[in-house]
Amino acid sequence: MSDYHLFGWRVQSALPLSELLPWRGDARAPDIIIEIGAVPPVDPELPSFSPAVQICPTGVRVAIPAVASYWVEAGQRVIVQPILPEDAVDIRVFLLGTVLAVLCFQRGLLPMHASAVDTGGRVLLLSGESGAGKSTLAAAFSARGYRLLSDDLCALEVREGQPLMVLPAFPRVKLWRDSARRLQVPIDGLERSREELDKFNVPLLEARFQPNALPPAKIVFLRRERPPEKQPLRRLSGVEALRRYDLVHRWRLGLVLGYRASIFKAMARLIEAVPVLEVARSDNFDELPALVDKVRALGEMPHG
Amino acid sequence: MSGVYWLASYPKSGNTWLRLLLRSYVTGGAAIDINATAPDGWSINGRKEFDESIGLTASDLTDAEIQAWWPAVLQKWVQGRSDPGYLKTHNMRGAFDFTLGAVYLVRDPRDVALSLARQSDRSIDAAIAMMGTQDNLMDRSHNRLQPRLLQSWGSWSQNVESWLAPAPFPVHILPYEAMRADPAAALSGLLPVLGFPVDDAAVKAAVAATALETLRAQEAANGFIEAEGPHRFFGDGCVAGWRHLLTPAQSSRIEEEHGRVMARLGYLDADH
Repeated sequence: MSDYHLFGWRVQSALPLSELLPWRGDARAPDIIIEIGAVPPVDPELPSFSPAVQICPTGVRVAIPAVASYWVEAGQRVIVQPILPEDAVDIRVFLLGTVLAVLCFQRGLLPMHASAVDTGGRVLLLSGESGAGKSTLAAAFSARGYRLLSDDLCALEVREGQPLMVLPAFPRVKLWRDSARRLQVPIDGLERSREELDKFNVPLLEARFQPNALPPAKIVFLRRERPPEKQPLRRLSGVEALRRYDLVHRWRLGLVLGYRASIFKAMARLIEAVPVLEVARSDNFDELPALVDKVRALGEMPHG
Repeated sequence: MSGVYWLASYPKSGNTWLRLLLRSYVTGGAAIDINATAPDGWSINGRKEFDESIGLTASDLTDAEIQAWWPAVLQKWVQGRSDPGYLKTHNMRGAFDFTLGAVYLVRDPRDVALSLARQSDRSIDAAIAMMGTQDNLMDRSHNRLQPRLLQSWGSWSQNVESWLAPAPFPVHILPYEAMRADPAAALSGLLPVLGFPVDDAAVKAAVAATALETLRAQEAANGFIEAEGPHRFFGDGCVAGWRHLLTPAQSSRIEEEHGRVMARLGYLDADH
C-alpha cells in the first residue's frame, strides 16, 4: 500500500502508481482507495455504454481485454482486476485516463481534456482533439521553463461562491517518439505508455511541475490544419465556447453517467470567467517555437 | 430508416469526386466548396468520434483494439440516427447488418498507382508495393500519432474482391472510366441504389458543378483539406495515362499481382 497525491486527494493504492507524487499532506483518511480484486462481472440486463464501458447502478465498469478490468465506485473506491502483471504500464494508462475522468465526475469535479500550464500563477489550458498537439505543446512550454499542472487530463474545481481552480495531476507528459525527438527530449530508458506503442512516459522534473491548484487564465483549443490558414487565431463567442463539450474529458460518458447539469454549469462558469480561443497549427514541428510564442502571448494578455 | 449507404473504393478511384457530385445533386445541382465539411460532420476514421463513442482514447489503444471496437462505434452512430447515413470508405467491406446499399468505384490499378504515388508523395514503385500488400493497414501510428484512425485497405485486389463478393445488400459497381466518359449517365445509374430519385436537371447541374476543372481550380486557389503530400489531390482524371507513364516492368508487376481481378473487371486484354 502506498499513498499518493492526485488532484489534492489522498489516494491509497495497492497498485504501484509510479507517475504520482507521494502523499505529503495531512494525516486525513484516504479520499480514494485503489484495491486489487475481483471486478463485478458484466450485467447482461443493463445496456453497455460501449464494448469497454458499462454503467451499473453502484459503479462504472471499464474493461480492456488482455489488460485489466476496473470498477469505479462513488468517487471513493476503485477495484483493479489485472490480467497483465500488476506493475504493467498498460494497466495504469486506463486508470489514469478514463477511470480518473469517471472519478472526477463522481466527485463533482469537471475532468477537462486539456494540458495545463502555469503562466504566472494562472493556468493556460491547452485543449483540442486527440492529435491536435496538446502534449507536444505542453512539453514545449515545459522546455521553456514553464511548470505544468497536468498533461491531457486535468480537473476543474467548481464551488459555489469560490473561484474556479485547476487542480494539479502528476508530473508526467506522454510523448510519441517523433515529438520527443523534435523537442530533444531523451527517451532512452523511459517506459512506454503501453508496451505496444511508440509513446513514452516522460517524467517532469520537480521544478517543472506545479503541485498547487491555480485559477484558470485562458482556454486555447488547438486545431491541426494544413496551410493555408484562413484564421490562424480566433476568439470564440460565448455560445460557440459553450458548445465545445470536447473540453470535457469523455463528455459523452459524462452525459450518460447523469452529469449533464453539472457539466453545463461548470462550462458556463468557466466560459464566463476566461476567454476561449482557437489556434490553428500546422503539422510542421519547425513552427513549434513560433506557436509557443503565439500561445504564450495569448497567455500573457490582460485578463478579460 | 436508419442504416448506412457506403461510397466505397480503393483510394484514388474517384470517390471524392462522387461524394462532391452527390453533395451537389442533393442540393439540386448547386455549386460546391471542396473544403466544406460533410453535412453531418461524421467521419469513419475520425479520432474524436471513436474516442467519445468508446469512452477511451484511441491514442492509447493498439491497432487490434481499435479494429475490434470500431464496428461498435459505427453501430452506435447508426442507432442514434433516424435517417440513412452516407459514408465514404476505403476499407475492405465489413459485415455490417445495417448496410442499406453501396456504390463501389473501381479504376484500372495501373492508373491508380500513378495517382496514389502523386497524392501520397511516394515513388510509383512504392505505390505499386502498397497496392500489392496483403491486409494493408493505413494510418497506423508508428512513431507519431496519425490524425486519422487506422484503416483497413488491404491490397488493391483484396479491396475490390471484398466488395465484389455476394452481399446481402445491393452493390453498384461503377468503373471510374465510365464515370469519366459519361458522368451524367453514371450518376443517374447509381442514384437509385443510394435511395435517391433521379432528377435529370439536377444530375446535369451537379455534373457541371463538379467538373474536374472546377475542382482543380478550387484546389489551386484554396488548397484541399484532404490533400496529404505536397502535390495536388485532383489529378487530370486521365484514363489509361499509365500507357505512357509506367515502365513496362511497372505495368507488368501490377498485371502479375492483380491480373485475376483485372481480368474480372475487363482491365486486361483478352489475350493477356
